[in-house]
Amino acid sequence: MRIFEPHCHMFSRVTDDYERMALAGVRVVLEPAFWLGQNRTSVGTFIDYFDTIIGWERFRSEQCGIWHLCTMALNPREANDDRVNDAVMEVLPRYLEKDSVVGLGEIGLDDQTTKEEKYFIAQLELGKQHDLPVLIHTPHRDKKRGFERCIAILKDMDYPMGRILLDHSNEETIPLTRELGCMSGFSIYPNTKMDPHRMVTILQQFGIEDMIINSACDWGVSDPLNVPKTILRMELAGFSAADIDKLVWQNPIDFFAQSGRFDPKVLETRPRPDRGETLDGNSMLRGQDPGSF
Amino acid sequence: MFDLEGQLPADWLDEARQRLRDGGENALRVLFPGLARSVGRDALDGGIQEREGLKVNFAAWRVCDAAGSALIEAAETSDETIVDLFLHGDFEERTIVMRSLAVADVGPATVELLGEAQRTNTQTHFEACVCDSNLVARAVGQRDFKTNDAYKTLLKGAFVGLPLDRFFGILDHASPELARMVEGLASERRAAGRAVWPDTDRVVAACGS
Ligand SMILES: [Zn+2]
Repeated sequence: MRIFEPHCHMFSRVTDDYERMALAGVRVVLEPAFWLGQNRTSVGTFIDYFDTIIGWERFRSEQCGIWHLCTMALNPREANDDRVNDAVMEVLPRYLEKDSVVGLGEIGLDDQTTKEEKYFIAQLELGKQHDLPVLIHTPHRDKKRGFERCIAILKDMDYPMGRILLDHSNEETIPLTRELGCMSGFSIYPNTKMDPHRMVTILQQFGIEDMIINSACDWGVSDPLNVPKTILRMELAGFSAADIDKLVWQNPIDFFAQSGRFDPKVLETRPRPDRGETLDGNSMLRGQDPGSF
Repeated sequence: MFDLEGQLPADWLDEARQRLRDGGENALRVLFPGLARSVGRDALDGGIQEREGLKVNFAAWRVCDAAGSALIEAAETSDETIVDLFLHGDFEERTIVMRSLAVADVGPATVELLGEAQRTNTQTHFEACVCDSNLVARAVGQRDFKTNDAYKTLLKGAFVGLPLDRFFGILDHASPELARMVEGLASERRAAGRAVWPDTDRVVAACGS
């Protein structure tokens, strides 16, 4: 099984996670720029974070045999913070042009404030200018209302829906998005917002067309193996290998390939890791022999 | 100084220059990450060329490297921005910035990036900065780049096994101190039973005593 994991915050995961993911069939991870568990107080820490996800994190991932792509954005939570919001918007254009950046995101709504909407709309314009598909974070509280508001804003702007991925869906939101022509993303957590069992039920009911699943693993309680775990449940429920491949490989590839920034054929191979290599003097080996993994 | 423009897509160059006229260095920061995607990574024609004291082997260059140099020149880029393009660049951008130094005068950014080359262990960036040109040799004595800095650069090249011939003109600065450094590396390698840098003897011979 080949897996494109379209939403994981590897920045806050350990190298063991990469290794387990590689063993479970993950060939590509996509790291959306997001909040880090606490607010940043200056644009400098955003810049360092952005440089990390196009630099060290990409290097670390490839050393484990997994391609690393990312999306860039001012996330909705920190869009509320005047210490950083405008300054981040100023540096975004250059980061949206980086080679491994295949989308704009996570933008969207979180607490559903006026400021969040302002930066959501401003960034949707950036998505058009840089010709990138868009990954939208939807609120975890008052979710249905948040979905409706996101959709209303997109319709207002006449945004091309084929370039939109509405993430963190659930049973209540999926009927809202099926007719829109956008991608629907499901983040599968260990036990709360969505789990592998419920995911299979949704897929049985709504099919796999325009659907994407991810683990959204980050610094919180989350499981980077939740996509392979859901695949196992799908197999047990009788889904065909072709359907599963479409869900966990072809759908995310087709969506993010709209960026024109990667060759899907290359992603089918593994990056060739040379663990003796270093990035800026930093090796992953910590004194081990390159052959010892 | 060197005529590389003929190898760049004319339409692309016109449009990029227009964007630089409109947007200045900010536009440069946005254009830079897309260079390899826009003009490609094919090898440049040209081989070794010399102009006004600069010597460069363009066989080591790609079309996107030439494009980067052309834009840095067209934007009359400040030293601060050249360093910024490197520090906040991705892998390819950093390579392009490093390579562009070989075709420009030695400014404050050059010296700062020679220092970055000395600290990076991304060998591609080290080579792009210090190999296949006489940049290191001609930087000696300019600003605060000293003979000893050039030695340390060559020693790092020896340490990772790069051929002496890729450091044009470096032996013009040879002295017994350089011989001492290179011999020190060789003796350490011999003691460890490891391979000695093949160009050790050539360097030592050029250093006299
Ligand atoms: Zn996320």
